[in-house]
Amino acid sequence: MGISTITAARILEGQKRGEPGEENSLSFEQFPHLALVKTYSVNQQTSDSAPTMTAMVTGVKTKDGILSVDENVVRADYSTVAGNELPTIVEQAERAGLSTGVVSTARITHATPAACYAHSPERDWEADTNLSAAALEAGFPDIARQLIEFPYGDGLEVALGGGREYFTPDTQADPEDTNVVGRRADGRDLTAEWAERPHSAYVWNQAQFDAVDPQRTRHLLGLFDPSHMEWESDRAEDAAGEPSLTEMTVKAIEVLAQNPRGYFLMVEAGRIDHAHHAGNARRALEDTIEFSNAVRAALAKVDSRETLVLVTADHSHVFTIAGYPVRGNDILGKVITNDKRGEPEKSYALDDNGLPYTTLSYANGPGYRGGERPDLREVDTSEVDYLQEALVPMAAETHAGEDVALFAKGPYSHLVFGVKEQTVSYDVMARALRLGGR
Amino acid sequence: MTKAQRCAWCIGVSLSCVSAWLVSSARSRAHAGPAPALVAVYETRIDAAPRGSRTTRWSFSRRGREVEYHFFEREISERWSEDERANASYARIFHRERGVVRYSAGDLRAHGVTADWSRLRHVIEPPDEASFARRAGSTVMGWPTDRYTAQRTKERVEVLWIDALAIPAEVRVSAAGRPRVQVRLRELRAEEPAPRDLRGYRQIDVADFGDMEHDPFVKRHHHDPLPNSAPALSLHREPKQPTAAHAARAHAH
Repeated sequence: MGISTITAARILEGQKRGEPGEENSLSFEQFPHLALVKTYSVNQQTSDSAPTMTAMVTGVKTKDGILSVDENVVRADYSTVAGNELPTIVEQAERAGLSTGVVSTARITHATPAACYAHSPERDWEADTNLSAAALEAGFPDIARQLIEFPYGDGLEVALGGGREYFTPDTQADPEDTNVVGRRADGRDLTAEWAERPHSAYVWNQAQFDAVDPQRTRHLLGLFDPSHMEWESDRAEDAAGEPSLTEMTVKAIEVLAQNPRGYFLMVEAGRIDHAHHAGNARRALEDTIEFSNAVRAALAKVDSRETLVLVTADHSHVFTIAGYPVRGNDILGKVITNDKRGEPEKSYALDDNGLPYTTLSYANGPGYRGGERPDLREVDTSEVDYLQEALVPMAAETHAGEDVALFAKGPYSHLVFGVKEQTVSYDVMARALRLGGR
Repeated sequence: MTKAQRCAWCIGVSLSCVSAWLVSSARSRAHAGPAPALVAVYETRIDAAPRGSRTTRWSFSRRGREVEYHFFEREISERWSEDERANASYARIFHRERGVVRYSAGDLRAHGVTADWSRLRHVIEPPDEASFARRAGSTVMGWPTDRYTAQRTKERVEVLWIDALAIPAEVRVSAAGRPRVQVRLRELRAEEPAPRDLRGYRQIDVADFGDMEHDPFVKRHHHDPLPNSAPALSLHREPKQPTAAHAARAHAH
């Protein structure tokens, strides 16, 4: 969720209300404190989510592809992990008696949520069948297992997202998609193990989720898809029904807030990233708007005098807002510029080939057309499946290396200013949670 | 581009035309109830004079809301599934590498791929009398058939259709009196296919490709063509580099 994504989503949200859009603000854009954050990792100028999230939850930068372990760890080599684990803020919060939770529309074992509770030399080791032969032989725990066996405090209180198949045996058909079986070869059903604990519940569809009473549930695991959850644009099509990011966030807070000592909650709109990788701006922006809705709902549930809320991204994408469109021009549409008198032209602006072009595009990705540019006059570029044009042909659009924004509100949010390293998030959160003093 | 690749592309273009023609000329016949479960093995012969001919074997299996096309030579399967809300999902299975690339319904939509179930369930879109002349055909492997024929500007198309199973026993496309494409049923078992056991296969969601830029399997396959709703009629297409054609398919909608 780079800054261009925030800007475009802000405009789209306003335009969906019939406004020009540019003056709109997403919920978190009204926070009083803001910094720019450098997202480079130890070994890459442009990072993936593993080291960036590690920086945010441990206060230490590390290398790409590895989770909450330091730079001495060799990727995919389990034998280098011991002694190089980085304590995460989730572990520290649990030790201090706080409640903790992770929420994501991606798999709950995906890099961003996983960095909160797991230490792994490989972000892809999400189930035991993903481990290297040596790691499997040595009994190194996969990421799903690390979530269930989280040894700090009384374990995570909330884990809501996708990735059900990483928790169930490979002999067990998925309850929603019977063509899919679990991914675990160790025979363990980690969902059942979670549900067996006192005051614990496991849910996998909307109806079960809605039935959860947060007053009577201390530990809630919800896995709503075999893999990633649906994009917000497609959520209504989900066979079993699944909650929105907003609904998951509210439920998570209601469970966590039962603890009078406080809580830590990480909420990720994980599919913004996937839509950008697909070169599909509309889905990315709709998920960004839903993320803004989730933040708004969270703010309504908390007291900002005692609860710090940070909003940021792990990295950006090569997503651009270009041309000189007039005020209120459809952010997903083709560029219409002003004439010499400052009034909107009657027709689309044209490139050097005499062809219209969209405001939104990507520097690389599957939207590459090759050869001559397409004539977009009759193409509905605001349609949800439309892929924006890309300059460089790549099967998946890439992350970008520029700084991302960090918005802050609540205790210690005044520490968020200027241009910072990505570890600043950890520093501010640790102060707000008074982890050192507990 | 090598000579072999050029040749393959020419055949691909030819087949692409055939495929498009079948779709545009034939509307689905109404088949009462679900199509029966079966396993059918086909042989496709492409005559591309003067380059000679090429024959490949592939199988089609169907059970419930799932169909699978398996290409013996390349040891690749393409599986399409549909949930109760008609959301399609797709998996490309690389047996030699014991790897699977999966597209969820959302992934298919985000990549602009629409599942054409009228073709996927029946190998080709079932012919009808509005576009074809029909007469009784021979019996093939104990199953009665109808013979559908149609003449187009340059091509003659004949389909031997097993109506009880809703699959073709033979598809023949001729031009200038010479066969160009011939698809023949070679084996048939009208029974529920055994579920394919993918335990031990590495399964990757296409949505994760963007975060797996260093993975050797992803590096080999991230430029593979997008899922194709007419796999049986594009057997000889080689994986393409990410060209305009690749992108055009993504934007065909």
